[in-house]
Amino acid sequence: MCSIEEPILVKEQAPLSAGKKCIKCKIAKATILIRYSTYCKSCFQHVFVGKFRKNLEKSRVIHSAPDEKAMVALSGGPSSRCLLQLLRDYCEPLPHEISKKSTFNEIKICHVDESVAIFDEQEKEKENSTLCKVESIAKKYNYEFIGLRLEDIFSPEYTSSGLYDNSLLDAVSTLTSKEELLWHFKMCLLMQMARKKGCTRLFMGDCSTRLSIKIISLTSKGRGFSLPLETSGECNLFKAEKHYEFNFLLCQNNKIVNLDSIDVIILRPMKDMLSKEIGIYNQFTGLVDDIVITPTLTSMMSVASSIERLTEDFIVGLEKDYPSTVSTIARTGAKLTPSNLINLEQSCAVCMMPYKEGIKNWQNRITVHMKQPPLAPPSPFTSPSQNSISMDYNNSSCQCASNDTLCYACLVNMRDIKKVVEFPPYVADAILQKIQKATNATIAISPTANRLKYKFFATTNFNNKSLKTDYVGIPDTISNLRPIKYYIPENASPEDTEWRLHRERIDQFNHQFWTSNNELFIVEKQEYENQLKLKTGKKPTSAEISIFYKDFLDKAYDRQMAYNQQWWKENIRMLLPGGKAAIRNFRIWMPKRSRTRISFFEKNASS
Amino acid sequence: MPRLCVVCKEERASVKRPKTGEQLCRNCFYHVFEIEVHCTITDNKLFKSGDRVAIAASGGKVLAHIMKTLNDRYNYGLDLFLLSVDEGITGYRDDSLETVKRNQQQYNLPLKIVSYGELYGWTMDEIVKEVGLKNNCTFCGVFRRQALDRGAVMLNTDHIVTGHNADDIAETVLMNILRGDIARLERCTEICTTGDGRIRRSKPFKYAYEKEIVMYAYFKKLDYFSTECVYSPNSYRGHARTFLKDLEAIRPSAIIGEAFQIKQEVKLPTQGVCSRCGYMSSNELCKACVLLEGLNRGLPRLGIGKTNRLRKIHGEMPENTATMLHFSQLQIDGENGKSESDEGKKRR
Repeated sequence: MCSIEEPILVKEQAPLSAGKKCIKCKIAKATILIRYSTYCKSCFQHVFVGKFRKNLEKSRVIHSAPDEKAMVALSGGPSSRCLLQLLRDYCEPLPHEISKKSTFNEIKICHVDESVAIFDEQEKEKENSTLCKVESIAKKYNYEFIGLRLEDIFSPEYTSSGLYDNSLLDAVSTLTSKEELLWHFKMCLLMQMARKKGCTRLFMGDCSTRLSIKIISLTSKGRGFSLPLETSGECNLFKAEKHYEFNFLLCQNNKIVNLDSIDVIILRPMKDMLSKEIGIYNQFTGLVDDIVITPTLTSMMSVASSIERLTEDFIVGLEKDYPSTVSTIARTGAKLTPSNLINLEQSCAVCMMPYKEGIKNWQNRITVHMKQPPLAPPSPFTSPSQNSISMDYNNSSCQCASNDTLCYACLVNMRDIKKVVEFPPYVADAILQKIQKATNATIAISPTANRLKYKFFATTNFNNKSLKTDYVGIPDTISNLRPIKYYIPENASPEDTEWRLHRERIDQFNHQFWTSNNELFIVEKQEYENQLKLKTGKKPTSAEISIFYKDFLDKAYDRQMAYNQQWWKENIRMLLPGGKAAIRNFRIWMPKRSRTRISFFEKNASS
Repeated sequence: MPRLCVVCKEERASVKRPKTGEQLCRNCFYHVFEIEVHCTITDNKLFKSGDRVAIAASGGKVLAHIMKTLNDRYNYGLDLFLLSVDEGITGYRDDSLETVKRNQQQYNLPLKIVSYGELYGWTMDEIVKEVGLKNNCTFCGVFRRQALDRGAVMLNTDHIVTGHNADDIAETVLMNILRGDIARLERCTEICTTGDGRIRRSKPFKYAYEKEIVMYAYFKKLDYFSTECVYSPNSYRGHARTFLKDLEAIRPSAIIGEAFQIKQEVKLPTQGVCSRCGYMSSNELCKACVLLEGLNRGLPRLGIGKTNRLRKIHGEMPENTATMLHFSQLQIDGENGKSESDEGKKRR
């Protein structure tokens, strides 16, 4: 009965466009079906370009300032590729359309290469990097091209290694959170670059299909709050005053650039186009051969690998049966406005979006972990699984609860991070700003070291109290020492505590010494190299540098010796509290052991 | 090694909580679940002492059980009533109504059953025969909403609690986005809705997962009815439901996350009162009246997209068409209500 050869019987449906005329010119035969309307080729192109122009001109920001610089975010995909072409046509009109004057002073193209996050170390060959492919597209336009890599988020020093980025993303256990983080980093890079280059408008190529997927998936991730900001056609959330996240660029190269004075407005002029329309347009204009297909984290994965992917599947599937789905969702999204409860002054350290305060309290009320009912909202309440963030900043480490700095959705993401990981500097910077604001205290920023020293750890169990054993972190970027968080037993004796505090003090001492020593080393080495460069004009060879090493060590002899002596002394001093603690623990342990022995003998005797 | 419960750290864990993935023992699970509902109730100040509250118990017993337990334990001081709606769907509702009746004796709560047949003169089975399998959910939904309110008025209560859980709310949010219904999108996440200051509706299970409710019912040996309505399989909602289940599989917190969002809208229709039956409505006539008119006149499409055109063709409603009783004329079940309040006094 059911053999494979049996033909599948499907009622053949007459194509909707068959034999119909174009609804626009009503003369030519229709060849294209968009939702329920039929078009001929030339009318379709006309309508498509018209839509784009209308979208651009509708927004006041286009007219308000004619001499603005704009940046186009180009992923290389169909939508952003099309956007670039349309924008060029719009800004550089043909000679006979001279009345339409150019709107933007300058257009720049920016691309962020994510390949580092997607491919393994071995695969990370040239062919997987999208940067050069996109650059070849951008070369066809005489606009400035800026190529960024995702690892740039860890400030320029780390560009070559790319190591830090992977260690962070590897620590994220679910694809959903990973995708989210990647997206935030990408947005941050784009914003940062736009500011740096003085661009006040950032064009994104989100089409309506993409936007409706985003609306649903963001809702599912608990981002209903910032959804209107993330999907609207025109978003001027990134206002000048509040953008302290980018302060860390201030001190870069010791040059003071006040980047905060630049407003960046995100524009999405493709928001009314379906991905189908874009595909057809690209086909007609020959752009289709010029597209870079960027693999994503969920490429070649199952549908249920991440929320984003599942939503995509859901929407595309629905669109097939109910062709108005996408536009309905997109229009619904466009009607949403941010809630009054949102405090626009506050923004999440990771995703840079505003959020509602008091989330942790709310969560504790609706999800109870304890035997006792939690306290009423205003009083602080900590649950055992609470995240905490610890920051190591200029040797003064400060801890702050993550609920003060992150939004609900990012808190949920943090749950998927199981290790101590380092976040990009911009996150630490935002948190620092918040602490400063809250405490009204200013923490001095030294211009030379600040970029290296930002650190932001997120972990599910960072409180000493919740550790089960001693906890060793990743090496410090400057001192090269691994930080240790000691385990505090519940019934710690005074000897134990003394012993632990002593060890912590010594760790701190070591850390301080090596930090200052290495800082000095870095600075002097840089100076030495610069001098040599001036003299010889070449990069110093290793032989030449070894002279410097010798010099440095000679100069540092006294300092080093003093340190060593101190270290020896401390080592001997440590014997006393260590011994005390050991003896005490032995005493506690002893009777227990003898007790078990007796029972063992008793057992023997009885048997 | 058997795992210990993460809350009491004494008993062996026997439940893995869907909400958090924590492993709990049975007693702690009950405790935690009840406390969460209690928190939801107290935080949102759902009740005042002395309120007469109708429990909309379709078939699931959990809501009635929890409300009764919490009322006794934390002294809310509420007079509780059971309220059930009989849609008249054979094979779906009759079983659950039986258990509701059994339950009435078990919890010693007064019960009121309002049926579609009584209120509107049409049972769902008859409506489906008339309308067909498409759009019948519109009728059922609209009628049930009003039936509950009418039942509540008859019981002389001022508050209805419904068993909507986080999954239901998430589903509704999703549906409203898919449909583009902004006004509802804003309203549907509210924990307590007030219709005209008359009868308040609230959802104490707003933050409880459907799975947990089912588990609670299972362990406590309460009857839980999750029979899918026989008329519902291929609705648009079904798609949303499957999507949501997939989401939950990827990340359990997605459900709560959805329920959490709040949005604000620019323009909202003002709510008025239906001119025919006195029920709250955004239009001149409430949906139930329009639908009922359509049924009685043999124009089932009235109220489903083609109202105006049909009205043009067939003219206004003739005088002799049967309509519902006006809201203000609803009789409070005098006898019933009295004996119940007496009972309430006795209990205290």
